[in-house]
Amino acid sequence: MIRASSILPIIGGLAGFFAIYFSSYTVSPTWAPYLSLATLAGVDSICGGIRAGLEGKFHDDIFLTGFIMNTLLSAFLAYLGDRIGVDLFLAAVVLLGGRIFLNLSLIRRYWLNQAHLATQSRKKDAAVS
Amino acid sequence: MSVFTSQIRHKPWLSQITVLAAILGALLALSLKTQDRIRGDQMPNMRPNQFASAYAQLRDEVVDQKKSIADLQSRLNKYQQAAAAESGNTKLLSADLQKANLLAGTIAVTGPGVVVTLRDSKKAPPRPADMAPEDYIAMTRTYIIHSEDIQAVINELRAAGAEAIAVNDQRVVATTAIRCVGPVVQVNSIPTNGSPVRIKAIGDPDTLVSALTMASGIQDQYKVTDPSMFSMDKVKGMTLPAFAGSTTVRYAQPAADAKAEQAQRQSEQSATDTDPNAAMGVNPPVSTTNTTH
Repeated sequence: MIRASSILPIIGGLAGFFAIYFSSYTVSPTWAPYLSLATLAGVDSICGGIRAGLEGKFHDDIFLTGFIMNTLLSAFLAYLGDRIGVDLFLAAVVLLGGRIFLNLSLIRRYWLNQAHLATQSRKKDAAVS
Repeated sequence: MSVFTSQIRHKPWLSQITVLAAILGALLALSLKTQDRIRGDQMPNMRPNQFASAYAQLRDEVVDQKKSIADLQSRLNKYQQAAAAESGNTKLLSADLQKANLLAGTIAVTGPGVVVTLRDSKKAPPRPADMAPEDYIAMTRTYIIHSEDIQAVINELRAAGAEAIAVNDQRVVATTAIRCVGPVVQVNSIPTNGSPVRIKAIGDPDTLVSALTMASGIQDQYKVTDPSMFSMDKVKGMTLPAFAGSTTVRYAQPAADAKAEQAQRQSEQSATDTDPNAAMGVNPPVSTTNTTH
């Protein structure tokens, strides 16, 4: 039952992915690096959102504004770095990548914990009966 | 479906996450497609180590293409000659064609002429410790051969009647550009040595030499900085290679008769406009018959 709640976002993601991949929408190559960074920020927001949701601490305004702000901010940081000649996008890449790792490991731990509790409760029921 | 909808009711965040995951998937797909297109069309973005292999590949392709151009050009020539041998008409046409090819630079030519060698001077003064590198480069500019020096020599040779010119064994044709890129001189977009530069010209050797050794001419200019930068030799016979580049014409077309006549009239008019009186600043007499209102 835990799995069902996690599959829905994946299905949504795949639907969005294939819808755009097989369509003819493209972006000019000048914006490519900024787009990649915005994508990374989006992945980080999604992982953070899933983790918060599993912990019960999900706030939709925080999540929504976080998603939009992080995406735009990372793209802006990359653009600013290009203009002033400093590789600012590295800061975004390192931090976002770190956060993705953190959130994914927390999600994994939550799932394992749930699975653990489920087997434990089944054992208890079996012992009682 | 009910398993999903019941989950959504219990966990309101699920629907938001799903929508945003869809947006994320779209973003991912967009970036993927853009990166693929970049790698397909042009140089890879932000991958310096891929530049090197792509460049090497392109360079080898260019070399192969140039070889095949030269090959095809010489075969074309042979066919033209063979066709000429068949009838009087084609003989005349072939002779015209050969002459056009010669002037255009698409066939190799031999003949007498001169070889001019330009080299950088070794007598430039060393850099004083307190001078900035850019200032030193500006100061020693006259001790190095630049593309303008090569072009000045070519200009002089042409004025003296040179019929075919090659710079560092690159034939100079109507579309040739000679550019200085750092220590390298690019002729026909092919990098060659910047020093020494060998300019070969086919023509009357004596006329060419006297043009270059005129008073205040090319040779005299180098006497000021370092006479060893310029040297020339008369040659009884030498061969200049054919132009090995692309002869594709994209914008120019042969003019139709009316346009050709107009161009002809314009060039004749500009030739007669060089009134010596006007050049000296004397006003030409005003015509009194043109005052009409």
